[in-house]
Amino acid sequence: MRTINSLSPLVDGLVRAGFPGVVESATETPLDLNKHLVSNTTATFFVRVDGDSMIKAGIYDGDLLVVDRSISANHNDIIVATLDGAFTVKRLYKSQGTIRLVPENPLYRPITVQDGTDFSVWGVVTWVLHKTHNTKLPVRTFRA
Amino acid sequence: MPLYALIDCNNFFVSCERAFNPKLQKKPVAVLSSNDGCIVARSSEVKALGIKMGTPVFEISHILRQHNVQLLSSNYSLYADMSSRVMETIKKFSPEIEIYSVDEAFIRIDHTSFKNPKQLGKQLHETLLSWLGIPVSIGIAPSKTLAKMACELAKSNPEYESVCVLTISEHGRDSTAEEIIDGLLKQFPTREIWGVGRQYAKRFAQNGLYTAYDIKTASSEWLRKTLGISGLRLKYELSGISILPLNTKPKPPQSIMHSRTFARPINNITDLRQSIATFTSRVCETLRSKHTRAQTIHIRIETSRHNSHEYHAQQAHVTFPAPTDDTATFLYAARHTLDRLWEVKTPYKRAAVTLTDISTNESIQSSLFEKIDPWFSQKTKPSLGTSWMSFGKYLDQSKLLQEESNKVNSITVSEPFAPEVVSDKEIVHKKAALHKKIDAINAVMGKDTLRFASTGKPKPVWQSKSEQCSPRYTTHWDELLTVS
Repeated sequence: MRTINSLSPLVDGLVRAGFPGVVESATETPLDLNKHLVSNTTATFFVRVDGDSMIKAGIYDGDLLVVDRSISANHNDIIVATLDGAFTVKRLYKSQGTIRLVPENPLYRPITVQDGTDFSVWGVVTWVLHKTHNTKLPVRTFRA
Repeated sequence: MPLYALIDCNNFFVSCERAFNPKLQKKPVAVLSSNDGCIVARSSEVKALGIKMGTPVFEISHILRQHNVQLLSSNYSLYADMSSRVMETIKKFSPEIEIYSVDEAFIRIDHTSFKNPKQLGKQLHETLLSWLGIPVSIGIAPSKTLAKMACELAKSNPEYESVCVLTISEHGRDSTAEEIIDGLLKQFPTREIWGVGRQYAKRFAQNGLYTAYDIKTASSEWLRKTLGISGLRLKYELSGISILPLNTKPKPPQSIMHSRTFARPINNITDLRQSIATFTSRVCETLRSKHTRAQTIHIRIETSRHNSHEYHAQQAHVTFPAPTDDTATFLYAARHTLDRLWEVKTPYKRAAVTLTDISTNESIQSSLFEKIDPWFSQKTKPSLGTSWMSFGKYLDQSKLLQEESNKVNSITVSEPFAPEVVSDKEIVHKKAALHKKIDAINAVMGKDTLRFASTGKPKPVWQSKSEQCSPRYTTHWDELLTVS
């Protein structure tokens, strides 16, 4: 599994006179987005959104979803499911024994999962990553 | 008393594909070798058609078409990542793990908080299925040999629901439990026992031992006399007395190979050299990533198999006096070997570079600390006239490399084969440091950011012919699973 490299601490060894000890001991583990977004690395997968059926939930075409397959899906969760051999991202509605997959876009209709439909929950969407600026990723500096 | 669980992924490569492609569920699916030539993984539906492992596709194309078998190129990036996820998941149940192969692991479960082995097995099975979509079979028993047997039973008998437990209760010997186990042992042929080869099975049969139960009840004396200590071990293991411990240190791989079928035949030496150099760089990267070194490099080039009467394969190997992980050393050997093998005007369709005689860095450090340079060791000083390159060249039409390697006609080349010999230990260490840096840079900046000039520019001509390859869903940002 590939993980994003941890960022280097934003403190270099050069500390001016004054309170060096304080600064050094204040150096903590930097924030790691990977850890923040992924709680169970072995069961988490990244998937890409294709389409606009979930735009009212803030999920746009081309967005990146963090999907945790170890979480059991509850009513109202946004899930990735397999339905008749295809993947779909929808909101899960469970009520009185019926399961519905509800899109977040008035142009689409909810899907009621009929008995005998080939349906299963693939994973629960825990984060949506939406890019707001059209730049390429900066070239990471390399430190040997 | 130790208690082992063997977790074995069912049709692993096929299951990995199915985890990301629900259309493949319940359909006959086969995964092909890296050049799309042979079948290397089969779904249960394909096994039921009687298609054997390793069968070349062209031999059975009519059956494959008739039953609409879905053929996929192997997606090793995906399988490797899924394998490590499977192992990490298993470790959450027990940290005492022996990763036996890409899709199999033994764990010790007697130190875990689970009191009921069957329950642990079921939970493990459910977890791997829901987290990763990988179905597994699990065998639980007091010895590894019995666990392996239990796993076979779990796999072939649906009534076990993928988990078979062969244990004698913790409090003394429960006679009914033992009877049940003996009943199963009586139905288990010797040749299917873990570690019993065809030769052993034959010897057992000659002495009237046909089942696992026969071995369990055979006389210790006889077993020791005919099979030595391993025969006795087998008896104990089958009796539920653990002799084989968990092997928690990963074994070095037996060989590392990179082979590709070219998109179109290559008949000029420049392209061929560059492709061999590229393959050599790849195997060396793998070698170093596993903290191992190799002593022998094999080069193989062949023409198209489809044109069977003109099929032409040549291979040769170079064995160094000491193991190394230096790409430059292997590149030098590969280049010289290829130049000897290559024939003018021959359209080569496929090439392979394989490293063998692999050992771990640890073991080398202890035994060869003073002479780690492969070109220069005390045993073989590559002075003029010394020859230590064995050279084989032959024609054949057989299908598998393994079969063929027995037939290599080795010719000793009397010419010295050594480049600028580096005997300076300091330079050897510098080389190691250099590779460490190169590998680290490539890990961050992308494959081949720094590469040897002899590999040339990457050209599509020796890209793998993986026509039915699924995306590398878990290791490449631009190949993620899409959902709508």
